[in-house]
Amino acid sequence: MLVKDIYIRDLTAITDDMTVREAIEILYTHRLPGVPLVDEDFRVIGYVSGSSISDVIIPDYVKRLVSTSYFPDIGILAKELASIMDSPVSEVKKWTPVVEEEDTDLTALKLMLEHHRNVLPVVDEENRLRGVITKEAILSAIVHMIDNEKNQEEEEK
Amino acid sequence: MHITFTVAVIALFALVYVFLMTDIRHRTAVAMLGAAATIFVAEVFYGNTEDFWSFIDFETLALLMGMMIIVGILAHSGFFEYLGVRTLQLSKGDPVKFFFGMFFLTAFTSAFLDNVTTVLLMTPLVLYVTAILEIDPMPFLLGEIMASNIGGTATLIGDPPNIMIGTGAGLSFIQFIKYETPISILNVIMAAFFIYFIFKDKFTLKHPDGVEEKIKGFEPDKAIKNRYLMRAGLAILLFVIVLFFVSDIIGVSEAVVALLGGSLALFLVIDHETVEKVVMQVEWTTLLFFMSLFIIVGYLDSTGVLDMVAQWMVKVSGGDKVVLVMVILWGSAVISAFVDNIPFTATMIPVISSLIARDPSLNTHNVLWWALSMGACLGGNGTVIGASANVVVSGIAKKNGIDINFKNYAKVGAPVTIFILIISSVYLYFLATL
Repeated sequence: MLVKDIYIRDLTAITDDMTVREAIEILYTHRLPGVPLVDEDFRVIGYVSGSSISDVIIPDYVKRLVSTSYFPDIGILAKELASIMDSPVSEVKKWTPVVEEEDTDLTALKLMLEHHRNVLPVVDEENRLRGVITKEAILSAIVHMIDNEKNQEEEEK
Repeated sequence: MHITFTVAVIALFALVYVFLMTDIRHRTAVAMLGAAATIFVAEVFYGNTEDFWSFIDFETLALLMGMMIIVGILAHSGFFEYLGVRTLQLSKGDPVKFFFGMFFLTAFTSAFLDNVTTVLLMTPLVLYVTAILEIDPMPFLLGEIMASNIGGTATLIGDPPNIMIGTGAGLSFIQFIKYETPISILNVIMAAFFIYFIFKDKFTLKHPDGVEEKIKGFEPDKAIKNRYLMRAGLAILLFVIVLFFVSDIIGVSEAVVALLGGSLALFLVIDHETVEKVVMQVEWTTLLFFMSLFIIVGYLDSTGVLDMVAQWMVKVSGGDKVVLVMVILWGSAVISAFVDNIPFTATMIPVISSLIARDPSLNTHNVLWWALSMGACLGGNGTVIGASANVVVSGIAKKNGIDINFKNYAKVGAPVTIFILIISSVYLYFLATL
């Protein structure tokens, strides 16, 4: 199966002139785990997600501790988020792998697992955003394909 | 010995040292290539004599591996964070008390466990607590580095140079306790006060209200991720330390004790996955580094060059024991401040052995060995690259936006090191003249 048979033609994206605060708004209101970051020509230049923002606001030393359950609530996250909330979204962007329409479902799924991404941008040959692909979209498309094939076989019988 | 062979071995050894100093390649890669090339040259000259196997001090390797396994299990259990949080609570949020508490805790832990593991686990906690208290983390970070290096000097198992000296010179755990622990305790206390006085005005809380409330919110018990692992790890650590104390009496080497403890620790882990993890975390690259150095230094020793160095040292010191001790102490310290103390100690062990073989009266109370140990371990505090703990702490600090560089480190590290070395000199002077 090819990416072009599966992907979601949704051009929701974050542009590089937005702030971290606006990115969080878009992610939350659209209920998306992650959104491509694009320049003014809609070329994909990165990826912003709940994970990429969390990664920045959890201090490095906290990540190194075996556990955090013994910490009292002293508002570390609020303090860290306050310091970057109104900064350009590029501060929380991550690099992202991309797929093209002619790539296979297997390529897309493998890339997502390898790079821990829930969403991959689908781009044309000039790296312009065409839509996104998710693991769930791939899985559901495959289920539909199997069902269709079965139905066809039965009809033929 | 063939003169061409001698020249080739010295050249290879020098080349390895240059690469280690410039740090442009990983130290293990440098040492392995150096060892392999030296064996190659040796076999070209003398055929396959398999000499290199006898150069490897497997006791040192076994001791290091055994202790690395035990510390790995304790690290997994969350025990170190528990200790750190307990220290914080006992200090009631008073930065001065917390500073001294962490300093002594780190020194004590480093005396029995690997310095790098100790600071790797303590540094994040220090950064976290100083962030809560809103105080400058610098004195605490420098404290971590120096406490671990000075504490590591205290016992046979505290620091790699001591392990090498212990097995290389045949000194027992008890001898280290008798001759190095008391002076190390004094050094730890003096260094803590010294650093405290340097940073005296950095320990004031900006917002003293509510700090005690914040500290009360910590629940140290929750820091323990795996209670069973912690108990097993601690029981084995205790078992191993007790055996270290009596190893001399029952005639078992420290290496075998550590090996027994390490394997028993793995056996007690139960689940296969954690065993894999703990074994993976043993610093195999460091062990390979040791192995390679033993081979290079073994060949160098076989050429008689190190014997000549020993002769030269006797000549320089005029055969005077005190002068010799001071040359070893201060010379080792200066070199270890800039070069990895592991290859340095490996090279110096045959030199000191040769000195003692020439004139056993130079080594009353094993004073030459203690001078080497103190010089190599304490010298590591001199610069930001002097020891592994320094590199680890400054690396973590950098990732959290705190710059510990050559310059700002030296301002504190150099005077503290000199101060500690002066105290050690006085001690060694008495030991040498006693």
